[in-house]
Amino acid sequence: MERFLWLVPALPALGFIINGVLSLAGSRTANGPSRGLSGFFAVLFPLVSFILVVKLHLDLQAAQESVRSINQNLGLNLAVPTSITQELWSWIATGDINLSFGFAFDGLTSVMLLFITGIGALIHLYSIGYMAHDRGFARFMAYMNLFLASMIVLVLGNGPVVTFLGWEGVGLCSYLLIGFWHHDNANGDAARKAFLVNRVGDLGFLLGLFLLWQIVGASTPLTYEAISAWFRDPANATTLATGGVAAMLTLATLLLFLGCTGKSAQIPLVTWLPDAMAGPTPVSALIHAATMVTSGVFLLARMSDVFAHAPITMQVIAWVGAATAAWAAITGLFQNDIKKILAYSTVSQLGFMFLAAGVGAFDSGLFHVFTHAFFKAVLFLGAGAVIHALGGEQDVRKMGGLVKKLPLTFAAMFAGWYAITGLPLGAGFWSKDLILEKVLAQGGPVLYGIALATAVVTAVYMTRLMILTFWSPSRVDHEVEHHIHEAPLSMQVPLWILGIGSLFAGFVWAGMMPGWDWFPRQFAYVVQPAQDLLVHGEHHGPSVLLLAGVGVGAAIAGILLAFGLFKAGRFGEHGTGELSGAARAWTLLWDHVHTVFGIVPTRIVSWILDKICQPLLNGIVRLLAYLVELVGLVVQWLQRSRLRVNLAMSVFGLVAVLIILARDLL
Amino acid sequence: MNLHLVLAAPFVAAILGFFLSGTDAKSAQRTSLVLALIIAGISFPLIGAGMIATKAVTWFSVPVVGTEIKWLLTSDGVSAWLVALLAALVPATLLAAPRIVGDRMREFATLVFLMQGCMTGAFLSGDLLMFFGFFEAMLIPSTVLIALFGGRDRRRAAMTFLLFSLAGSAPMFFSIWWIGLSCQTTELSVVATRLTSQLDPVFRPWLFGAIALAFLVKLPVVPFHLWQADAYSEGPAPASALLTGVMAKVGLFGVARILIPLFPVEAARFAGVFVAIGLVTVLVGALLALQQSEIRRVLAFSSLSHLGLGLAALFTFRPEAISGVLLLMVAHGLSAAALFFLAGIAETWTKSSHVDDFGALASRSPLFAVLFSLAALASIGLPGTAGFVAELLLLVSVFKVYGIWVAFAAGITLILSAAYTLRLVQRMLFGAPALPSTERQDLSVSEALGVAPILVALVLFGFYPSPVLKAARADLLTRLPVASAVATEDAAHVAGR
Amino acid sequence: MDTIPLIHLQLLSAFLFVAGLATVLLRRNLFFVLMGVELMLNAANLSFLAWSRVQSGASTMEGQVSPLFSIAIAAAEACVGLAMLLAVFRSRESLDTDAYSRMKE
Repeated sequence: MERFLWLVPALPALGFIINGVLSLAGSRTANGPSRGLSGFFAVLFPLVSFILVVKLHLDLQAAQESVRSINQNLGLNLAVPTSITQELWSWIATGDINLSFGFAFDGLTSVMLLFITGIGALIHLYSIGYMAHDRGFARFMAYMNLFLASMIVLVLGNGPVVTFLGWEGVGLCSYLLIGFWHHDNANGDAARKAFLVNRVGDLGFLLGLFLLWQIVGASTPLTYEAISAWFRDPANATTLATGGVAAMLTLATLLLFLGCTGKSAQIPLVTWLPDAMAGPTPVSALIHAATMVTSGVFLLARMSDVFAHAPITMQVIAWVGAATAAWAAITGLFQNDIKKILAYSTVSQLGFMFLAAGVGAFDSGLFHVFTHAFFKAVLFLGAGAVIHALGGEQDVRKMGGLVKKLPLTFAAMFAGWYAITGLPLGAGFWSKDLILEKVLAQGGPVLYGIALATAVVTAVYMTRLMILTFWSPSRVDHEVEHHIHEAPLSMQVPLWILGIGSLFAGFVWAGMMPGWDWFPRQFAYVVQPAQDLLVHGEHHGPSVLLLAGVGVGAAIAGILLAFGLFKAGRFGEHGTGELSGAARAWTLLWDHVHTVFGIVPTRIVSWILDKICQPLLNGIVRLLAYLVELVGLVVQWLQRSRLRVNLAMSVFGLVAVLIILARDLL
Repeated sequence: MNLHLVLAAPFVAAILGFFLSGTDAKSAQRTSLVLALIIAGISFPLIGAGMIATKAVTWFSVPVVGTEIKWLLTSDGVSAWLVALLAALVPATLLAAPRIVGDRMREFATLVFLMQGCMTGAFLSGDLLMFFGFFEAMLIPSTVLIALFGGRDRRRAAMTFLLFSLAGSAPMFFSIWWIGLSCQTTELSVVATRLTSQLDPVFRPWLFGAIALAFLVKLPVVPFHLWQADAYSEGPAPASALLTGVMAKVGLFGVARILIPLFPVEAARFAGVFVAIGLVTVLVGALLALQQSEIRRVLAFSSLSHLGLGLAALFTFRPEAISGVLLLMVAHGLSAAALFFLAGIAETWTKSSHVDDFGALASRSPLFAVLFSLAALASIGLPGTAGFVAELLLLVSVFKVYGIWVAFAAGITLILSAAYTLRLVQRMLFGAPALPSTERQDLSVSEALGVAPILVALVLFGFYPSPVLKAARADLLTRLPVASAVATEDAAHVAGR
Repeated sequence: MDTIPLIHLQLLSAFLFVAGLATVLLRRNLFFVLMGVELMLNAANLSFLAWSRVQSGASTMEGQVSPLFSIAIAAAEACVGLAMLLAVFRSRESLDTDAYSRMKE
């Protein structure tokens, strides 16, 4: 089976090539390439990838089981296979560097890939309906396939450099997808911003990698397996304990974390994600929910052994996560664009994941990634269905009363809402409560307080979204109201599947019920050593049930508060216009930080270089040229006129030569 | 492998070029293309040939002092790849040229072949004076190309280019003359062994500096870069592609192949200065590119920035840096050339080089847009293209020798290059069309065929760069191909068969 | 018979040469310039002859033959020079050398 590992990313890549050629070939025809053909390939390849991943997952489990049973039956102690690996070719081999291009499929990868390819395939299916009337259908499908391929490479890579290939690949695809409707320059700007902000993070990733490589030494191959082994090896503990190396490791992990903040839209590189809403809706779902933005959390878990040795970095991660969660949740309260509300909600939920990882609960963070993938995908796709039904209207102030007109969409969105607010037994309930529990136990009461408050605010803005869209009286324009229709089947099916997922996906790790822990068992051997290193001994805090009660209480409080605010008319649903005042300043806080500390200095320096240094240098060169010209003029003047002057000069020259010769003779 | 054949082929083609049709541009293009492909066919096998050299023949000996000037061609992995890069770009140049040069295809092709011949000579020279001859000779066809086919301000651009280059290389001639006097020969491999013992250590830094100056101007680096933007933007775009794609590489090649091997002590002593110059070039080039509003000026400063990193990395003397620099030369040569080809074609549509006069090419010229954005992405070093591997290796080598902060300074170019390149892409391909035109203009098939293979090669080397990386042997900086050593390698090669 | 010492002849020759040179350089009249040139030629001739007297052997004749050549050439030169002078004077109406700075016009 391991021989076919490369097919998992290669199939969507093939889909990209086929759709790209279709798009280019059809660009001269009146209607563009055949949508049926293009859509068929676009969905087929992710689906096959998904099936392959399921098969690989079962194979890995079977292999592990068989070794375990052999060990048990015969009393042996054989090593349980942790991963399926495939090395394809030697990628970069020169000097000290020896990188192979290869893939590794282990428990963590399998969990990630299951929902990346699974939800990815559903989103592809959904986009067939959503994009059906767009001229660039095949191009869109090509980008989506490339995105999926890059994401798979990111997760499946056997080392950080292969991951980086996918890491920048998804950045490129998000650039292409955000700027998909490229005739509008605003979309192009948003796309460029996403790419550039991500590149800042990517530079951090690369530099962190360099430092990390310096720490583990050139003889250690740059694969996750080897790096983890190095950090787990007790022989290296003394090396790590020395001051210089410890400081270097702190810097390295901070830089790697900077890469994560770029990809996962955390403070300070948070700004691109809300702007990324310029892209078509399935993009939002794919980028936010299932895949791209969660890759930061994935990387933390993947390198948990490294991060666990850098306590300062872990502190930073936890606090950045908490701050982002709180900031984005509050920002979400002010937004009127349905996609932006969801975007800030995503940022906020990502903050939760980082908070979990930062307090040393990598598995809980990943669990939230998993459940979030379902409920955020359904929310985004549902929002897309609403926008589709309203003919492109995204402002929640011009919605309302849609519960009667779009009951199916409402049902799916309701499932997503139920999950994200953390109401009992929904997907978000399990993961969020787990995080809150771990934060209280390992991070202290302050972080717990922030997280709990954020949970309340989350419930408020999500309920506001539901009220304004579905429950409140209709504010839809009359012309639009006649055309409201449910989405086509290809959009409905993914919604139902994801909606059901949002309600029940949490049961893969129902913390309160013993034995319901399929999820963490999958990759315990990847993150457990790091978590054990960070957590010493059992923590005796309030009981799990009490904490769950507090969590649910926070959700209910938030919902009630939202209804209260709506009754009080504080949602501004009849207003128009842009954000203003404090809300605007708060929303654009980090944009301003970027402008002041990044963009403006760059502009100033490059302006000085172009407008002052460059002409100055030019002037110096010109001056030299003029000096030469001046000498030339003098010589020219001597040459030209004055017969007698010329003669006198030649006589002078002759005499000079004679004197020199005579001096030599004497 | 006959090196003489490789060198002679472009010159023969240039002579044949005189007999091309002066009136029928199409036929001239076809014939010259066939010639260029034949040259490529002759040149590519060099890559597999390893270290080879011709028998050294005394060309002439300087009277009185008795210095022997040799006629000697050598080739190792680096020169082979650069000759191949050149041979690959010439056909693409000819394919991209028709819209720009119009009826004067014959003259254009002849000059391009002459330029190719001179550059091939510079890459293959095994003798300092020979190298200098080709190094200077390549100025003639390139200046004429700029002055003959360029834009509005072409005369001044050509003159600036010529004067800068001459001023840069005059000290080098002095330096070579001095070396010839002291070592009794200018054969590179012999000079390398004699130089440290035969030259007064007081003078060596000056000779080193004089040779370095020529290469730094050719590369160019800050502050010798003033000719570059003018020459690249005023010259005909296909010629600019060759200028940046290959001629600028002669500068880097000279540093790697001549400067450092001949003056290892001085190179090590002044390494910090060169790394600093390289890094300043990287940043200044990128920042200046942000400010430009003409397509080819953006591309020119982008070249400045990318090649600066190559210079900085070379002076770390790391094996990764040498492989990385060769890959950078190949990757940048391909991507920058592709961008210049495409920019030149696009400029003929709008009759303007200002970015604001473009827009919406993505919908009007989809094929162009696809190729242009691919080339742009390759130029910013996106993983999966050769540029990424090259920049990774260069950054690693800078990091290993100078630490994290210098690597960080160099790495800022990753962000800045994305900034100016994507700005260019957006202004040209996206948004609303600047000039109302319903006409759909796109690349012709032959133009697309000229550029597409370049992009395929970039992706190929991005995933499988080993052939290029292996060609740059770790001992490149000290070892030069020697006629005798080569003879044994040839014998081994024959025996191996 | 006492011979005039060589040094006297050479000094005279040098004086004549300097006088001719001074005439060429200082006088602006083309006529005088030509006369200065003649004077310089004859100074050289005198020097040749003086040297030939102190020489012995075959080289004696060379010293005496050279002035003959130079007299012949000087005669030819004077012919051509005067003819040109006339031609120039007709076109420029001046014999001032400083006025001839642009001959090609």
